[in-house]
Amino acid sequence: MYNHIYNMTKVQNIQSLSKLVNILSKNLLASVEFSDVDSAKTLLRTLEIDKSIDGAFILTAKNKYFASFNRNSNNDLKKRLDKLYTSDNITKSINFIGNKYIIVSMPLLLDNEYIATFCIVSNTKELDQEILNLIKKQAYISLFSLLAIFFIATFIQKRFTKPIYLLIDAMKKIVHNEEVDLLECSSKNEFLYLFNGFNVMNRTIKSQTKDLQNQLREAKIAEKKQLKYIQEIKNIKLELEDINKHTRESIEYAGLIQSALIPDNRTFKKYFKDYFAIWHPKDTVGGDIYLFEELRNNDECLLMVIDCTGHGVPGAFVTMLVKAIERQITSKIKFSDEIVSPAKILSIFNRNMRELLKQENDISISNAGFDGQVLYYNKKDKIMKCASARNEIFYYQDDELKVIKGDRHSVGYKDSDVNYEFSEHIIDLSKETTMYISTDGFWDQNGGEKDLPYGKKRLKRMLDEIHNESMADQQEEFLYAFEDYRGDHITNDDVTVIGLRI
Amino acid sequence: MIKILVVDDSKLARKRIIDTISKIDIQHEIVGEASDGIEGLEKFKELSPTLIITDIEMPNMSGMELVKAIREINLTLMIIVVSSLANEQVKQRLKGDPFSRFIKKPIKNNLLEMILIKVSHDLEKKEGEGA
Repeated sequence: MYNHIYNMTKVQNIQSLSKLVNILSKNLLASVEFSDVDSAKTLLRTLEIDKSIDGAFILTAKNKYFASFNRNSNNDLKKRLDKLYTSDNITKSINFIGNKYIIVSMPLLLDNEYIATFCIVSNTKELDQEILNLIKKQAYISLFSLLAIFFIATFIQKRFTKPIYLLIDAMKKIVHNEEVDLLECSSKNEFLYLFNGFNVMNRTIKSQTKDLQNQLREAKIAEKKQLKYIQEIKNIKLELEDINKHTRESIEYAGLIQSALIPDNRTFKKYFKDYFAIWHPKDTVGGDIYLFEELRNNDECLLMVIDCTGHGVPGAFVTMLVKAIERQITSKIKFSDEIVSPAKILSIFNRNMRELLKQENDISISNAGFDGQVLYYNKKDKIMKCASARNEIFYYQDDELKVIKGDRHSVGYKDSDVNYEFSEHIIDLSKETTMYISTDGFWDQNGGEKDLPYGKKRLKRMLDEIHNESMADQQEEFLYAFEDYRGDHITNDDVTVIGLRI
Repeated sequence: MIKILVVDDSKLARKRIIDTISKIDIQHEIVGEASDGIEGLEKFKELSPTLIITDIEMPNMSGMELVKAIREINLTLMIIVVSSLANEQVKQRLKGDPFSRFIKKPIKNNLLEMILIKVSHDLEKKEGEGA
């Protein structure tokens, strides 16, 4: 580029020298024509003003100096010039002696006849200097520009690009879940707002991420705990099902055992014209039981209808106790001649129950006993004796209902009088008698529209209607009357009803 | 069509059973009634019912004796044993017999209905296999 500028400048220089040569050539032609050396020299000296011109000369057709001016007394130059002058290359030619000089020559023509050559020798020092200055200038400009650009770039980089890249880097880190520090912004411009906004966002994200991580951790812990609990619950459920199954099986087996105590109803046939028996424990086992024993011969029998404390398993336990005591009593009777007394039997139960269950004093925890009826029947002698703790005995003779009330004293409880003497009743069996011996489960059952107990009054009304029917039919009447009255209510208690026709 | 024989010493009980069955929407016919086990066995042989409903506590021959006698002849006849006694022993004894069911009196409609539906299905299956 500098070569181009240099050449361009040189060309300009040459052009200006050529113009100068042209301007002076006419006057110089006249000087040469008229051999006026002085005027020629004077003209040539006017070129001294231009410091770039080192010399000028007029060379005749015979290659001799006509006039010259030489600013530089440099003989080397003159010798160089002399060499040139011997050159044939004269007509309007431009010569360079290295880069130091520019020679512009012009032939002087008079009527198209060559008479002399006019040359101007200009040094390129100024040109070089000019070029150098130009180069320097441009260099300074370039340097300055570069510096400016550098500073501007630095400024831009510092002010704009760096923050943007900082933000971009920070965003990338956030995207890749990497830890990001808070950004600092030294300038108070839009980036400050952006940085502050980013920092707030970053803090918020960090905080929320931390919260979420904590929640996730807690959720995982809770889930583990929950799974553990679920497993524990499942285990407990299996265990409970197992226990329930065993319990159910145990209770069913207990039911088997208890139902073995229930007398075969066919034995009633031997003693009574007709009979029925309803035995409905509230659960699989219950506290109600009825016992029937043949005594010393085929004419004597003992019937007991017992309602032990509670129902379910505890009640069933007490029935076993009652059976055991009953066994003792009947065994003793069977091996003796004593007169059977239902009242005495109840008293024996009273004493023995209290003793067996250690209910003789207030310290005892248990308090079990029973209410019930004991009937002694001698078919041959037509004797019916009975005693009752609490519960009535109903019987019909000649369509007339008679009721034997039970003593207001239960059997075997802690607060029972150990020496209590129960009342004994004798029933005249000279007439056909239909008897009903029941625990209170039947008449205590809740039901009906008003959710009231069935009651003895309602029972008596029913008995009035059905007592003449067959015992089998009466059994049905009892069952359906109970069920119809109960409706959707739960069964309150064990139900036992024995019907006898004598 | 289910052919039913009702055996119970109580006339009232037989009537109630028949009334209960009549309310169930299943094709059936009451082919006979008996008042004790002996009569029940005779009618079973005579009438060839497909279902017997029998009480346990009956004179002359109890329900369980009737079941035993029937099983010597027919192992797959459906027998419903009813009782006013919550007799676990009877229940346990019948557990081993897939064609017997124990129902405590009074008989509940839905229970009887369920058994009748089963009997009806078994009958249809048998008739289908026979065809």
